[in-house]
Amino acid sequence: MILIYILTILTVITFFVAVISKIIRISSAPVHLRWELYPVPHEGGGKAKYGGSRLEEPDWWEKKIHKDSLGELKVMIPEIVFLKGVWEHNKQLWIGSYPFHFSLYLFIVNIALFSIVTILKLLGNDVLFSGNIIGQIIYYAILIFAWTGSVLGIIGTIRLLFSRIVDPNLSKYSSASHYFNIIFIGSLYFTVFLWLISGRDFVADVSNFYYGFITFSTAVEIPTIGYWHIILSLLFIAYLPFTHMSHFFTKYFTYHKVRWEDEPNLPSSKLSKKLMEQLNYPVSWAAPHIGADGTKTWLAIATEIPKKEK
Amino acid sequence: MSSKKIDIKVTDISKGQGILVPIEPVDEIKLPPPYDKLEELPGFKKLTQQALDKYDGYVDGVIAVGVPKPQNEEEEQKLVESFLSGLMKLFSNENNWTFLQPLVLSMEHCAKCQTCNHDCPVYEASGEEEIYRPTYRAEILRRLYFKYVKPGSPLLKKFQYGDIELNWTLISRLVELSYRCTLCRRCAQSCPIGVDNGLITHELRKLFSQEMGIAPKELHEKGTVQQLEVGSSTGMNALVVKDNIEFIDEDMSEKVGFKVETKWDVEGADVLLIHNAGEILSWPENPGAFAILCELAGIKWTLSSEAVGYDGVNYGLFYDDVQLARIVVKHAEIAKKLGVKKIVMGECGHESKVLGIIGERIIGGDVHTENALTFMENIINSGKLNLNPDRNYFPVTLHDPCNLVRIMGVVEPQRRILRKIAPKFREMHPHGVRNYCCGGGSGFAVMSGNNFADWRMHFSGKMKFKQILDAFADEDLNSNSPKYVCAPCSNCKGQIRDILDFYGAKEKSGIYYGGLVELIINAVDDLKEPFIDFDMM
Amino acid sequence: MPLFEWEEVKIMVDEDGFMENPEEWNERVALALASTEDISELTEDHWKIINYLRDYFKQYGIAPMIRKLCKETGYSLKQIYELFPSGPAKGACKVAGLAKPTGCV
Repeated sequence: MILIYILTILTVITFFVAVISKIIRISSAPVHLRWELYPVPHEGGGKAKYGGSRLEEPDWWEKKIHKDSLGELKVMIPEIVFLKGVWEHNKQLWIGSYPFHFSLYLFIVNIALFSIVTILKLLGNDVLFSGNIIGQIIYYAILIFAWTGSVLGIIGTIRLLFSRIVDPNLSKYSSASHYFNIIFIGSLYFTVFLWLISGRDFVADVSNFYYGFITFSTAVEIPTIGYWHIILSLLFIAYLPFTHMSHFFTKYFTYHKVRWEDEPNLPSSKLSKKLMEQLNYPVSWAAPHIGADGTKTWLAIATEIPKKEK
Repeated sequence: MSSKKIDIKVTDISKGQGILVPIEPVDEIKLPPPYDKLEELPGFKKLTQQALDKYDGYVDGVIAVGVPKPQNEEEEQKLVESFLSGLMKLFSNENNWTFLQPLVLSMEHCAKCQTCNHDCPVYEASGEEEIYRPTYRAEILRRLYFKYVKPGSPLLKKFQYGDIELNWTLISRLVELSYRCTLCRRCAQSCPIGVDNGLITHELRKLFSQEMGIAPKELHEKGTVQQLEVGSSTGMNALVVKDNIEFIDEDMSEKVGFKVETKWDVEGADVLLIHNAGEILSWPENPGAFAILCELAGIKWTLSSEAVGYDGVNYGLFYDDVQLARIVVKHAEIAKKLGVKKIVMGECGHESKVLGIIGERIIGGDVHTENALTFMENIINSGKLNLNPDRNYFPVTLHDPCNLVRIMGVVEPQRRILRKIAPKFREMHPHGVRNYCCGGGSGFAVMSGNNFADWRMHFSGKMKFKQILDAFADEDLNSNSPKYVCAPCSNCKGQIRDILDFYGAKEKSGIYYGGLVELIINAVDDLKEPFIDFDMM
Repeated sequence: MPLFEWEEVKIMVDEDGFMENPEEWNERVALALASTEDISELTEDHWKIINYLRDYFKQYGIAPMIRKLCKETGYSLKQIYELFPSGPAKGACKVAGLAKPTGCV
């Protein structure tokens, strides 16, 4: 059991270090040229609805820029909760992808619920088993989420795996890791399912594990299938940020820092200072018409009159 | 059609010697009569033996770029090394700060779900040809990126991302493939993760141009290089452009019955108008109509006769960030020197995108720019024109230039104008930000060497032609009573002209095309004769 | 670039059949190029247009606006298409030995 606790600690550390360092790597990249794609949902004045921008206004620079953050939420929430983009553009995929992702959401909710009850228990309130109504609600919520998640998850896994194998559009572009990842996540759903039907009190087992972990207690007892599930989950969490599945957080950047990023370059703004720095980066592209030597800056190269070629 | 399709895999790009997939026109996109018989349409030119001997990069039996063949193995090896060094630079802060962040995001997060595929008009028109799938060329770059740029164990990377063999065959084919996508970015709109395969094509083109010096001559040598040297991609120097504008002014004055006079290099003018210089040569009534419009609205405006200042095009946008920067910097300098209040871009999509959005982070925000559509709507709203919509009593449909609409969010001004001045205006479907590209995007409209012009008609432009025909479905397509496709962008106009010629749509169905400003001037009630003369078009 | 041969004429042309070296143009070359354009003989009308194009090209280095060509030679666009079936830019300019037009034209 101690080994699993150590594994848990290592997993949590790996996960956060990997995620945070990736966030730092992405956000410390230079400011890029604007590359937004309309509709941009924070455009105010009803423009977001049809994909309009402030450039539709004469002399827009003399007017106040409306940034409608609520508009972003209106797009983000259905996208996150229902995978709206996939639904709209690829319904066949959505049939497998949605239960597959939704089940992960349910598991994440359960991790949060277990964490809360564990903290409460540490504070002396064993809410799950003290017989109070809130405890009962949480207990059954966890159970329902676990059942729904594992069943939907297994269905989603089978469907996705089936599509990846049968549909040449997908199989041609799938590397070994695609199948591996789906099976890996599927195994999480399947082990929970087995745990649930094993006749044990699933909620009690898992909450005991959480409490045991926090108190580093060796007295916790969980079934073999529970060990399997926990070890697989930990390995998965540690593996996740190193794969393309890191889109669960990098999607923030693809949307907010590229697709919807339309900040104007106002004189003497922070943005303009940063850009000035970048214009002083040296260029070493080798084609003759560039005229770079590895020390000349972008600014110098863009403003000099290029010499005749040939 | 699909039964005889060759089954192509990503790794096939580096294998074999000849043409990877010899393509042929198919009628996957069904056109209405009288255009419904594929065998009655003009054919598809095969490459000549001379072209086959001269160039490399056989991917589909089409040549857009014309990659010169290396003379010997040593030279070939050097080119592969040059590609690899360019690949590293593409992912470095210093050399590619301009697009590094979106590029890396698009490299690392594609889920290979293929949701974007059916948004691509080329992929659709080809009957789902593998090599035109929006993810095909992107996948090649992804695998190269993971193999050569990202650190890590080769075995693990192979497991995660797949493998690919890098050789000259791959590189030369990839050059051509990077010119089979119009960068319309419709596919990027449907990506649930926010990956942009259009951007990847753009970055590939940059690698080839900025490191290896490979680019289509229409865009580079005759395009940006000529523009920076002579003043315009059309080859017009200041003397010629002034002479031509004077000719247009006279022509216009005759037409409207009052004096139209273009003023040059007026310091402190409110508006510096920068046309796509191609308009002056090929569609003179467009700059002519702008001059009339400004005259009628009483705007203090000017043109610039300084080199580059009278040609708004910036093909750098399509293939080379350095050339892009050089031209946009020049435009900004000229505006600052004249001390104008703002630059107004002519009816040109990519010019508007560069000066309105992309260039802003190179030239700074103190040079104000406005696109033509917003500018014209503002004039109409001012009430200074006496407009009579009945003068435009013929069917009109609107083409949305990708650069103005999907990329800049300029969607409604052109529609509000048309609703006011064109009683028989109807939309294409889909339209607005979900429009289809004309098929001439990213410089294609000016590229026609070898059999590339045929490719533009049969593949990239077919969806647009169908949209145009569908928009006029309630009219008689067998009658040549005039119908007007309004395309407020020079590049799109060039492509639409070629499409209509190719299918004989003017003769068969009376489909004409032109810009928006011409329709506005045609609606001006004070003119004695109509501005638009279909017999002259 | 491809070599184009017609009777005794040998010239280099680009992918679209335009001359690579316009300074090598002469009347025999014009006849050679006309043969690629479905023009059986060059009449006085043809020459009027060709000569105008050559003069303009010599002076300005590019082809004239089509509208200008019509106005100054007195031929309508329709007549020019009758004389040069692929039109003023692709047909007449090619026969007159001008380089292929560039830019968004």
